[in-house]
Amino acid sequence: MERPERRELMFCHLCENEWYRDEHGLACPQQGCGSDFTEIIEEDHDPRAEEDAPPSIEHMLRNNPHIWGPPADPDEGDISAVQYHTGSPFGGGGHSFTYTSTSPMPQNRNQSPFGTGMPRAGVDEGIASNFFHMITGLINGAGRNNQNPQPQNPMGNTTGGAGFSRMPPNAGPGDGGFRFHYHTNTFVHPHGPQPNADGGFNDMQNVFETLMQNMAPPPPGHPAFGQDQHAGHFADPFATPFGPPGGGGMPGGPFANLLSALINPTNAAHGDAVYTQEAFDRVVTQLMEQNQRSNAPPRATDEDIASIPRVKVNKSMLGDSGSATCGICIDDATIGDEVMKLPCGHWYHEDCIAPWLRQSDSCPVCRKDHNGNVTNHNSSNPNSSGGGDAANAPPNPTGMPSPHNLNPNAGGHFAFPGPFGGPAFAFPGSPTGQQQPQPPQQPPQGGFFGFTPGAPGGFPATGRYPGQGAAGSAFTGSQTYPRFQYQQPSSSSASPSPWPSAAGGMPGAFPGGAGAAEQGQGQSQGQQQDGALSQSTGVGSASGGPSQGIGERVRGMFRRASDRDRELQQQQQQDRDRERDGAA
Amino acid sequence: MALPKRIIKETERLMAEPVPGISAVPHEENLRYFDVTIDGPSSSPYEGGTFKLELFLPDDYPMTPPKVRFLTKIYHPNIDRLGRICLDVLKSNWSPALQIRTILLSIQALLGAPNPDDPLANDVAQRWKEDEKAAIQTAREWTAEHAKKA
Repeated sequence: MERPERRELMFCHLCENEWYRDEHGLACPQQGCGSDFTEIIEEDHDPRAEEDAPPSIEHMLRNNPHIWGPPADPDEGDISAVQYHTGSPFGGGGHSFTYTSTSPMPQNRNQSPFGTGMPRAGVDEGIASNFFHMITGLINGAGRNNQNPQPQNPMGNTTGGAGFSRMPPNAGPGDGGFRFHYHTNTFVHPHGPQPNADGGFNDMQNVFETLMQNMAPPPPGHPAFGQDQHAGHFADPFATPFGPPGGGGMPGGPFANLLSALINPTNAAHGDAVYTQEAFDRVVTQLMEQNQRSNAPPRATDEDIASIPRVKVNKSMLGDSGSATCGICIDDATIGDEVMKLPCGHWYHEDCIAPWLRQSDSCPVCRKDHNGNVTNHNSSNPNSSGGGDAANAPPNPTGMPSPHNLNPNAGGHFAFPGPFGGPAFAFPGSPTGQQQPQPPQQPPQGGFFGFTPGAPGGFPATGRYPGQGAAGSAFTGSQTYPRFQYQQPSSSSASPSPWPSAAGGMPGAFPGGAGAAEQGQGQSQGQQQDGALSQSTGVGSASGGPSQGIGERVRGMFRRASDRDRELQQQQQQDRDRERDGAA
Repeated sequence: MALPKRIIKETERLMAEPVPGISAVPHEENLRYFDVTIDGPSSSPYEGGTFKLELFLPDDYPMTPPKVRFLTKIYHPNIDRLGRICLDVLKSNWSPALQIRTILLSIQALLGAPNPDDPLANDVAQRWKEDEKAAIQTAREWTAEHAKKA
């Protein structure tokens, strides 16, 4: 049986033109419009009646360039009342969502979305509200099977204090609707339809929502979403806002990730998007880390390294003092040791210099390459004057402020001629060229997160970015920056750290943690110190005074550390043995 | 992983022959992590302040530079509001011949010679260029407020 034919009426979201599809097709036939942003008007889904509903991204982009434009006044976000009823254009059933945030008083402003650069415990309202929007998006996604239209919420609400109030759907279970009410202040709100074009705030919220909606599939197998109407089920995420992701009955998958991202301000990232200043800082730091060698000299090939002569240390190489150290391991060299001597005259243990050359073809002391040329890829500046004098390299001939200039002497501020026992460096005190520019790594002021390339502003946080110049910055009241996270005991590599690569380093270095330290201390009795330590024993005590205590302490630490190392090695040996046994 | 001999040596030397105005003490539970203090150089806006930093030696140190960051708030064009430092020798100009000691000296020198032309903290740098006197005054105030000697 064939479906009865019906003329489809089209609607253009851009010019609001209407036409029949069979006459003009899908694109808007209006002269000068021609938009593709059109929609078939359906019985239960009439876009003409929904101009108050949040527009889609395209619509916002066309009609409200402001959202990508200069930062909206962040305070606009403080006074917002969003009537959000879906059904279209996202195709869901009727779900009514009311978000109300009112902060009429200035002192409340710092509570508004992302107002604080470092959200702390106690769910930041910004997070919570964003979270709420996304939940709604997800629910809409999940509830697509549910086609029962839900009437708009006609009520005005009076609530006291801040917090979520979950109001049971007034039509009772089974009517297919959800209603959230999120209130942050005492206020009476007539919830009439509100124009939604009052700035970037709401729009960005909606962008988020839309994205999330498209991105996240309905969480399967979770009765609280899409089917069960009991508002109590939604208590879970909010009852334990800082609980572990996936805990509290939350489903796995994108939703859990999203949730954990949202409720944990230090990890508020989802894909390329971040939601908090902290998360943004982490991304930027990571980028900085990744690029930090981008201006370094190129690597030396294995052939290059093989071509460097190996020599035996002789008396003349030790210099007048009769002793010299390898500049990399700072170990003393003795006559007869085989070392690699670079054309510039500096020499190192092969095991020390080879890894470095593979990474950067430059003498660690004078930065000449394996051919004895000055490594300065900005301005090719061959300099064949060999010899070990680090201070005789010519200044950067470009005369520019020498961004990324690899010649350490170009700025005249850094000279570190070898051997390391002596005064190996000098600061002439001249501020010129004190430091050389790095790539522009500062996040654009006001720019906030990843998916608006080159578009500072728009996001609610914009403008609240705690500026360093401002007296009331994010650090108000705290005298120090927060420390690395890896300092926390029992932090695993999964724990977020402002320095990701550093965070990875610690757990590996001391797998035992504090417990192992104690153990090591006990075992260290009667054990021999290793060679390096016994050599230097007495340094601390020789200096006497308070530093003796420190010296002792440090040696104690080393002892324990070396015990731990030994322990670890033993353990690894045992593991290997066991593996072998298992294999046999 | 074993603590490389070089780190042990460096630490011992830092303890035995401390650099005036600079201290670096490793954490007992992680000898790659140092609590650092640097005194503001004299005749700089940071004079009289003692700045706390943290320093971490990555696994592949000395092939990669130590990670250093200010913990004490500081108003400086090359130090951002997270305490990250813009210093060539901490980045592309690192060399394994540099040490904790030299790096900390570089940072101390950076305090004495801010370089607003190579900013990490854009707003600070801009102010530094536009109104150096005011910027220096702010730096002084921040020093008094946040970096007071204990």
